Amino acid sequence: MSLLPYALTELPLFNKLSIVMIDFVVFLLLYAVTNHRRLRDDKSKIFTLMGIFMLLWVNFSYFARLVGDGDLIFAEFVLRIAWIATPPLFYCTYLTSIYILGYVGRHSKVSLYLFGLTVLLSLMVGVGDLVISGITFEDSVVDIQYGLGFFPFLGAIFVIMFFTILPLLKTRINASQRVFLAGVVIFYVANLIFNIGLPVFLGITHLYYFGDYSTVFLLGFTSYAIVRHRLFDIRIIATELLTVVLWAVLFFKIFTAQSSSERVIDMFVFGLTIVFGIFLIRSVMKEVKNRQELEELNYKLNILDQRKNEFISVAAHELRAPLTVIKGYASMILEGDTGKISEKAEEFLQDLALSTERMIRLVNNMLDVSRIEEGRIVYQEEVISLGQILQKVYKEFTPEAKRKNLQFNLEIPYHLQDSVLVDADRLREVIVNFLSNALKYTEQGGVRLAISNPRSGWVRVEVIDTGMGITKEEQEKLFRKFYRVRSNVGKTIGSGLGLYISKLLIQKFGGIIGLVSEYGKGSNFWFELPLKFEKPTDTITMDKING
Amino acid sequence: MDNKQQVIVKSILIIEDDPMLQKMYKTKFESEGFLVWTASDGETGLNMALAQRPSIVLLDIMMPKLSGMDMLIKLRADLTGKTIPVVMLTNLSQQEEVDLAMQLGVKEYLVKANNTPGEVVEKVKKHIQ
Repeated sequence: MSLLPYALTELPLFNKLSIVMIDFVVFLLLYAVTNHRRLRDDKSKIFTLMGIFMLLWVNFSYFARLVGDGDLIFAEFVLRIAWIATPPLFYCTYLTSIYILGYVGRHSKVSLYLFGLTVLLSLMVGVGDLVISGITFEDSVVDIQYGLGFFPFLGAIFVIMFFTILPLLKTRINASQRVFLAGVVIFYVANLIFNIGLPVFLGITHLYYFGDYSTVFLLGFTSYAIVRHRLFDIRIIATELLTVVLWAVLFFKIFTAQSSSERVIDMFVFGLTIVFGIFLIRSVMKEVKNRQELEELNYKLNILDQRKNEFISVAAHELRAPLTVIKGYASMILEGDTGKISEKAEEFLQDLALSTERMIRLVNNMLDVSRIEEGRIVYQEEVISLGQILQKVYKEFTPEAKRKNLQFNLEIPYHLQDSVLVDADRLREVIVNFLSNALKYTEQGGVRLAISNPRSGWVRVEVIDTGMGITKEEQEKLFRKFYRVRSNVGKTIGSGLGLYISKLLIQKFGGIIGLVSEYGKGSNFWFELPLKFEKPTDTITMDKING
Repeated sequence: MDNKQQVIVKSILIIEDDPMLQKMYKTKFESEGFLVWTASDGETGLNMALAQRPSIVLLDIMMPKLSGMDMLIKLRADLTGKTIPVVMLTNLSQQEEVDLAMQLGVKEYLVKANNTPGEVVEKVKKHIQ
């Protein structure tokens, strides 16, 4: 049987199309790499090399099936070339892996050993009967007769595969590196099944091409990973190719012109296309470059934000220990652990305790904000009486109100329902935050701390001050991260985190938060929480009161 | 007289590596009538807990030699140590650590900076029968 009809008829259409496609893609990539000044670095060269070995492997495996029927010796020769290309292909995949991860220096010794191994393997396949001792051809399928060295050969290939995958699994990889890993894994798995598992152990050889053609995934995914690494951009290449094709068509059109006037027009159009084509390519390049720079900047910003959070965490944690000591001793002296102290000393100590408390709050806020946002915070939720918390906080703030000569009242109605399911310490933070703000920004008049049941099943806490109030524009921004009221006070104090954290906490406990304020007329900061009834009878009492 | 007092006296083991904090909590608990032992690292703390069998253990996390968490695991592995109530007192609260501590039967998890010594005593007392 002659070669050509066999090639056209016997081999499945899938094979032919796949080969054409793989060749086309590889050549396109090689063209891109050799034509781009920016791409002449090591990563691109290795990628090119990988492409070349891939071509050798895929094409010569294919050729062996083509000529197998006619000339067994020639077929064996062709097959050996494919097999010689196999170890370098795997080695290049390994190199690409460590280049994509940026591990070149770290793995130089391993790379050297693996290179030696690769050369040895290629020699073993190329010369003698150690790995391949011959081939037979039956029913349009090439069967390889393996030598004694076949399994060691296979083992050595596994070693290279192992070192390719290992660094990818060991490190945290980014999205584009993950794409590369996916390509490698698909390629490996397909090879293990179709090129090794099925033919060697089960004797099914005619499916080998699925393994060979899985190189498309390796190639495609790798080029994607490299593109994402700013080596080259597929959009620029596409624009260039399109423009060149357009130029070629227009150029040939000049020679096929029917008349000289038509030729002049064609030349004019050709000239214009050259100019605009260059502009087009340039603008695409610029656009791509801008976008890449933006992406890179964004990435750096994210890293910076992470570092900032880490730093704040560490700093805040270190601040807590000495603050605990100051707070602790102040409270102990106030509680009378050191005997009776003078009234003046007690007043000073109360101020000291209050300032320490404010500082701890600041530190806590810095620690908490990122943890609440990421949901890493620990809540110790229990059913508690909201009124009791209010009483405690009210007591704490009485000295400060007194010092500023402000009226300070706590209003708890007689028939109050106030059982809520919350983390008591966290909820206390919210009330403390409201109160400290109110006292801070109120110079005359007073502050009222009120609790009520606005409607069945809910309890509402309000902190009402007679301060300067807040404008409509600022009200909208107030619960945002790092926002601090500026317009209505001469100075800005605090981290701008308190209200933001309060909002997150109240939302976490299933409540709502807000404020009513008019500029010049004071503010009312409030939150509402759903009641948690321990006894169903409470509900009935509640309804009666409301009715 | 002696017997009567022994029934009433509550004992506590404070395991805390910061000397300032250790002294402060020791003073407060003593003034509240506790019999107080102290240890500055997890290893000493573990030995003392097993030898003295205090009514309760107050345990820090970040400590030299043996961290609070590791100490707690070892304490819980011991037949005597299993039943000793433990309150964690720390300035670090990682979700994973709190989860682990709760699994190991810790009574409460307190953040130092958020509690005065008086409040710590109050909360500890709740956990002693």
